Amino acid sequence: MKQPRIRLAAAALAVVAALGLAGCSVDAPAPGGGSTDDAGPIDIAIIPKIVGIPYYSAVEQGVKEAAAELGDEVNVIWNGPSTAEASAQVQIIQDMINADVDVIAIAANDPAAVAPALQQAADAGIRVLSWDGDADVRELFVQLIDPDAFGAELADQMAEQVGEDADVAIITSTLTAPNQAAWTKGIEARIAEAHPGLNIVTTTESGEDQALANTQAKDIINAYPDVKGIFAITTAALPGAAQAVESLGLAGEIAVVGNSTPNAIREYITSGVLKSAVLWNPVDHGYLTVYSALALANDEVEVGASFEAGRLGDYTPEADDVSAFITLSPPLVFTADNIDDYDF
Amino acid sequence: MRAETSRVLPAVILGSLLLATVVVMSLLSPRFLALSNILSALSLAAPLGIIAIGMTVVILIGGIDLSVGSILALSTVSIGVAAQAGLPAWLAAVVGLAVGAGCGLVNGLLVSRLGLPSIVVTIATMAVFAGLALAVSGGSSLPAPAEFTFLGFGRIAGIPMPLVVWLLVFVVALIAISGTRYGEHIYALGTNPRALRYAGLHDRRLTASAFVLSGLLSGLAGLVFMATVSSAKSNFGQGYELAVVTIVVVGGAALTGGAGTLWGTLLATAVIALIRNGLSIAFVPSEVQTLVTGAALIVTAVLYQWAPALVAQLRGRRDVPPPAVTESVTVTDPGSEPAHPPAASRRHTTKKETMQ
Repeated sequence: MKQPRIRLAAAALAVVAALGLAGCSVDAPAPGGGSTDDAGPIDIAIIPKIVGIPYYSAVEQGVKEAAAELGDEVNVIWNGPSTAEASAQVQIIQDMINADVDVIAIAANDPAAVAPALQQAADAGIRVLSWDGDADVRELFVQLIDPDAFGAELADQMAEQVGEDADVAIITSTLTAPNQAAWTKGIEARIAEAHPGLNIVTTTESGEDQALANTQAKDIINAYPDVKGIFAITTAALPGAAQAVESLGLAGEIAVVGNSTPNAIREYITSGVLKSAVLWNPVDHGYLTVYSALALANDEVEVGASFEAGRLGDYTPEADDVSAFITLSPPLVFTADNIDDYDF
Repeated sequence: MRAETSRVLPAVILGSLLLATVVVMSLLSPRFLALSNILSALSLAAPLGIIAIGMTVVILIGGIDLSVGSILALSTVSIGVAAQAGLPAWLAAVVGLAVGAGCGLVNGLLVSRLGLPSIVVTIATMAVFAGLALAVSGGSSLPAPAEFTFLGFGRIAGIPMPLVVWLLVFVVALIAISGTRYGEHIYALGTNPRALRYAGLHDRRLTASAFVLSGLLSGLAGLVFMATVSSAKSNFGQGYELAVVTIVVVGGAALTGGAGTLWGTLLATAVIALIRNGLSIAFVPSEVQTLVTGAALIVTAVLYQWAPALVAQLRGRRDVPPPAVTESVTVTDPGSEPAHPPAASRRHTTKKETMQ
């Protein structure tokens, strides 16, 4: 029994040695750390949080649009993990460093976990920007939306639909989710400032689960008979809450406002359960990310100085704690009049 | 099946697969064969490779451990919490390893003492350990102690530390499995557990030990992973269980137990890591990467299934008498006996009968 195993070990060892030799002998002409190959297009690696979900497919659409406009100037690589798990993004970052790209643009799943890998990229001379999900290491953050403006827009819509004196409730994803927490703060700030008659009676968690949001909306309506409006601030909670209001036959009596993608809420906008919904435009976000990456590679990103981003016009980076950020756009409002112009 | 063929075959198949991977990937991207790329790809695979070693031992005894990813997560957040509570970095690391080994012990006791199927036990503990990890950390990201930086980013003789740790674990495990009685008993337990019991050996302890080893190595993998990402979070290691089982099966181990080698697992980890890295560095979309990894599993499974018969047929045509061996543990020299496959299998059955 010993002998065959030793033979196997020897065979395996030989293969490993051969690989090692092959690796060493071809290693000589390998490129160095710098990413300043002057000839050829600028390599931009764009790393979403995950691939294969509709939201990021919409982003990718904008990425492709910008890449097509810029033609030979850029080579855009869209490479995301198939699970939203930290090690997958770390591996992709490492691969992109080894592939010697010029810019890494990442939507971080976990701002801390990707930081060491991004630092290695920066040390290797690669320009780093974050979009969607911020990272602790980056030269520019292409922010989706200003959370205060977003919260204010939602609060204004609520007041418009339920009046200035009413009980309202919030259905969020989780109380610790950074985006939703920031928007809730924006909603509360705007209510305190402009709509003091609105009274938030409860805030509940529904994860990213449409069925759970549906149940919770019903519970809220039963538990708080005076509630006239519900903020549903995840893309799953909005259709879930709209569904609940519709099935209880309370359309027109209880207002639902929040954010979602047009395809998820089209039927409720059409039927009138929802008057409007707010979102950023993910296609534009992808488009802007490519132009921002190009500007970064060309040393055009500077606090207070504007750079051009194709059809979206000019953007001027502002300083923040880490480096600088830009904000995609004011919130995009879907209503029955314009929702059919969007398909994602 | 002839034992010599069945033992050498995985090495030949994996060697060819590795060679094919290297050739194809270097054609796809000129940067693939850079030493720095190979090292970083293998270094990133270290946590998977370390867990795969423990999984190989569990699979050798005919079990499976699907809780490895959750154990990794629980270990990392335990280290994070321990460090935050003011424990020195080394002690926090020990806590993480102890948590890993403890989780393994829970699995091992449930399987060996209560006689539950390991797949059921570890599907359950996968959820339990993941829940604990979430509870311990509150879902937030915990920073790694600064002392872990060397483990994550240091190098010894130009080799990244995660890779060094992986290779050290491999060497120790190889000695334990191939060079000690413990290893012989592990193989025997997977081949014929009843015989082992009649021989007066503690099969329950042996079973539990395999799961403790798997848990401990999952904890160690967590430590290494935590060092490379400088943080701990309860969703680390998600999906690792299937990735690791894939590796071990590509490495030639049989899920029925008793067959498989650590060399096979090591080579399979390298092959799968290099396939992923090579495609990624050549800017192949990740959907295709997943697809190719799946295809590699099918190709190797087909080879393992059909190559022995093919080899036997070729030998038969050349009229070389095939060496006769049984798969029994007691065989000493496979080459020394004359060839009579039917006789061999008859003897195998007889032995089982006499033992029962």
